[in-house]
Amino acid sequence: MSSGDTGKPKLSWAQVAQKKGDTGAAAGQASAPPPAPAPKAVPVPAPKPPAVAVSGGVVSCANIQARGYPLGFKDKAEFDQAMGELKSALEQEGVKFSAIGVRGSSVTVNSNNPKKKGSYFDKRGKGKSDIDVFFVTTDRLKSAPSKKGIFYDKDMAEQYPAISAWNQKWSAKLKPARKVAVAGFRPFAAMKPSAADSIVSSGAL
Amino acid sequence: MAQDALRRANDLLAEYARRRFPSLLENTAPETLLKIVQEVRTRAGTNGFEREDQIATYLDLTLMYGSDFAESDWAKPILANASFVTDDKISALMGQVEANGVKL
Repeated sequence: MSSGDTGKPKLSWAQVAQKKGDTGAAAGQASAPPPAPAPKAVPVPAPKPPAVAVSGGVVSCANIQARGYPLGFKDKAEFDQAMGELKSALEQEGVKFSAIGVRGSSVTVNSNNPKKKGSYFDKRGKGKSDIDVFFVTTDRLKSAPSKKGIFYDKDMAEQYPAISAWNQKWSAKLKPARKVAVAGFRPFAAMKPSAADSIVSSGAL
Repeated sequence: MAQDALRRANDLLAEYARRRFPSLLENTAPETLLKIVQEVRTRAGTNGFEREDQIATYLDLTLMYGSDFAESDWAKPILANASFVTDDKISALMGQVEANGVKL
């Protein structure tokens, strides 16, 4: 039976107590508690809900924005490196932008897409959720934007080799590997990134 | 909006419980399961667990051992240990369960 949680090793009472420097009589206990008895029901494997708090009815995702890097990146240094390289790729391609960053469930945890109601980052398994990278531009690009003012990631990768190379590099580099793709937005686009669903690395929305 | 977020979180926990315990909850009505989830959220909160993944584990343990598992001799010393942070408590509780050969 496999675990329904994230796979972190479970610690025994003694190991936890030892880790806390709480030897022997941990917190006033003369001895370790007995093991749990046989349960009435045994769970089957299922992914756990995301590690977010719903305090006072509000899902607390602010910590992800506050820490400054999205889910999927191991730390801020890795995120900053990715964004720095994206900036270079855009400059190499001659694409001017007013902001670059990441949006979506890697920032908000829960999906805000009405078509994905009830979904959240990596709900379907580790590495299953994309990292949605964006830039905002008023530039004239090689491909036309959609009527909604979006330069879709597929078009961007086809038209701009440096962006395609960046997508490929970072899709493979993240652990676990996952799709990382850059899309462009006009400032007027209805679905453009917002402060509520984004981490802006450079520029401003 | 706040109520929507809480309702959605409770719905997700109920979905999670059905995936984890399909046989046990086969005949449990959706509204009954939601009440269980709400009660578990409250009880988990009194023990300091506020993250959804931690509440999910608390829900697992409730369904496995009963709503009074927190008072049992194997769980109470862990939950009452003021020197453990919530992650330590979850880890130790899971360790107690897995020591008995049950994978959580």
